[in-house]
Amino acid sequence: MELKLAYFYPTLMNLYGDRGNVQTLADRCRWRGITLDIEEIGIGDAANLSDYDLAFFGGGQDKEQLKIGQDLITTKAQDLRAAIQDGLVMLNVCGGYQLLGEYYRPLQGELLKGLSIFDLRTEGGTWRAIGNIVVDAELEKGKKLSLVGFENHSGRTYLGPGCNSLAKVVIGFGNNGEDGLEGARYLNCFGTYLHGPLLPKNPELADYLIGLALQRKYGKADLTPLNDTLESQTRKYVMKRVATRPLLKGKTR
Amino acid sequence: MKPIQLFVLTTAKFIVRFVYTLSRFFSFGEGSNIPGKIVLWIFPNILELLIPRFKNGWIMITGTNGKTTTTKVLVELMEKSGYLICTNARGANLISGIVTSLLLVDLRTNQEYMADYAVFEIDEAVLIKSFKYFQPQILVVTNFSRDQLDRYGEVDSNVTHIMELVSAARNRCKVILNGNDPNIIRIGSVVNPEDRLYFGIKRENKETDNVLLMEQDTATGPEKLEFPPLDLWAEAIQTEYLSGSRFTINYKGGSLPIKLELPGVFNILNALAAVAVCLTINIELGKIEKVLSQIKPSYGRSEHFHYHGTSVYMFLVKNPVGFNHIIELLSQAQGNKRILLLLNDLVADGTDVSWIWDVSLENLWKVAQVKEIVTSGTRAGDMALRVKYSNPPNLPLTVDYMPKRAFKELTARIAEGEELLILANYTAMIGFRPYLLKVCSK
Repeated sequence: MELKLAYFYPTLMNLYGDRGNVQTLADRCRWRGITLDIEEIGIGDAANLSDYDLAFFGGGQDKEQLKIGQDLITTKAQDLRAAIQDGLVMLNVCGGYQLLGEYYRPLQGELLKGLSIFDLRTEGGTWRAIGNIVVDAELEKGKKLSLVGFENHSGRTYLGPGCNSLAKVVIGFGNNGEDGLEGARYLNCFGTYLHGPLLPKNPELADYLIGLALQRKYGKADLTPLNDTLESQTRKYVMKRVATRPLLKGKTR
Repeated sequence: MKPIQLFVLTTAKFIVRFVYTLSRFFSFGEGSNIPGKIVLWIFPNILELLIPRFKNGWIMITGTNGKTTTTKVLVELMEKSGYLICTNARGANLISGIVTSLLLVDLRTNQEYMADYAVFEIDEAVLIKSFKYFQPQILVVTNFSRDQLDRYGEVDSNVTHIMELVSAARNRCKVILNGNDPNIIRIGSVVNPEDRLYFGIKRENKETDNVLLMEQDTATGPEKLEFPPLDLWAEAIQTEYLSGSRFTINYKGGSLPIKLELPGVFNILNALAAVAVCLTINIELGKIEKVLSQIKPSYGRSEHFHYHGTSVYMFLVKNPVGFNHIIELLSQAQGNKRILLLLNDLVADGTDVSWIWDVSLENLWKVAQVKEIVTSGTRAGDMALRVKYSNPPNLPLTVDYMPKRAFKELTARIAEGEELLILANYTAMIGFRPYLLKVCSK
């Protein structure tokens, strides 16, 4: 079996080890004999996204986010919207997550328009939410899953009625620190503030994404179970460590 | 000195020495920050008394990696040239650590100055906050890359802050810059050409570019970037794995062969930074050769120990670029290596350990012939996952959250001729080194 992944702006949006997510998807495919073909999509590249099964879009520093914002709208918006309507499985982290919403309004400076794929808006905050985060997600009815990660963002994201949240915050800040929600989901498109990176310590989510992509392409998803002892032990250890320590929150200079 | 000033300094000195001795006696860590913190709480303006007490002013070394080694090399070069220097105690580079260091040495209150120069490494974020108080005569910037993003701002804004501070400096501030680092070369544009010096490694071919491992400046992209001509550079580099390197230093038409015991290309850059300062204060190039060849690694930075006939090296790795430099160094030689990776997530390390995923760990498997990996520290599991997802060859990977036990069990498996390499981030290194000193010989 073969899957194709579109990696958005890998050199510009590669903050906080987010490339580990792509590495995890690739390895977990490879260990099962599935070929994952990774194509990098940079500035100016007009990719034909209907060819793809998976996509990843990570976070970046402010200046990089500004640089790609325009490119995203001019060369990729239409295609990406169509692909997501068609069921493309996409994971967006932090900056990528914000840019798939309607806009990001910084405290100072111009409003940064997004793709409006997620019905959400992000407002700049005066301080950054920084620290370990634990959330409870329900990916399918009855398929409950705890996710663990690290968040570091000043944006406050508010969801509209057009998309669901990905999870409920157990420890941490999440989308905005007010409504207890974290991340967003629209069809097979996922957005989250969880770095860490997200997928290595949450392999069930990685497998869920691979499964969705296989289901869409081949109509079935039989994933061979892998030995995830290291993954689950590490997640258990980190969750215990997070629960017994005060949440760390920092202020920006 | 006015009596009140004398009183403040004497009291502060007494407090620092008392707390320092106490904290070392009861082993509350290194004891280099707490005494300074207490003094700053009692005398918030103490720095105003201490800063002017140097005849030729302050030399400050900042950057993401290489601060401690550059400072150590520079201090040795300057002291051998006859200068009286005051410097950091054990790499403590926050304000409180600097205050502790200043008050631990002879204050010479009966004289106008306590030393010729203050040569201090300073954390980049702390420098930005305190530049206006120190008004350094010379500022060295070793390199800038992403480090502890949960604590500090972005590389780009830090560089911009430093440019503003240098151009607003009350005194003429000379800058010494790594001309190989695309992130910092623009700092040179805010001073007159005679007030700046670019050092670096001559970019001879693609291979040299690769070993430099500088973080790309994503603002401009490599295609638009123009590197400045180097004023002081190293060429004809021959690296000798963990035992150091040989190269020539070139400056104003003169050239000098150098043997350095500090391993790795990154240490050549650290040595060049120190030499650049010496040239700026008119120490002759000819005088430095012998001193350079005798310098030993500093505290936990490629430090060599012996454990019952096994060579043990300890490397501080606290960010992706620094870690990649060590991988590059370890890839210079084949040979049976066992590696102990120590990763902590305490506040001083940055509580976000996701940076390990930006390390090019896969390069380690190419030539280094690693026999085994053991991970430890408060985030041993995260480190092991990083190894698992880096396409490692088939090798044993063990997680043990207790560093000492991990070390004991690992050394029990070591065969003759194998090396043990310990890569540790900041608090992991600080915490583990005393144990190494106890069980190993140097």
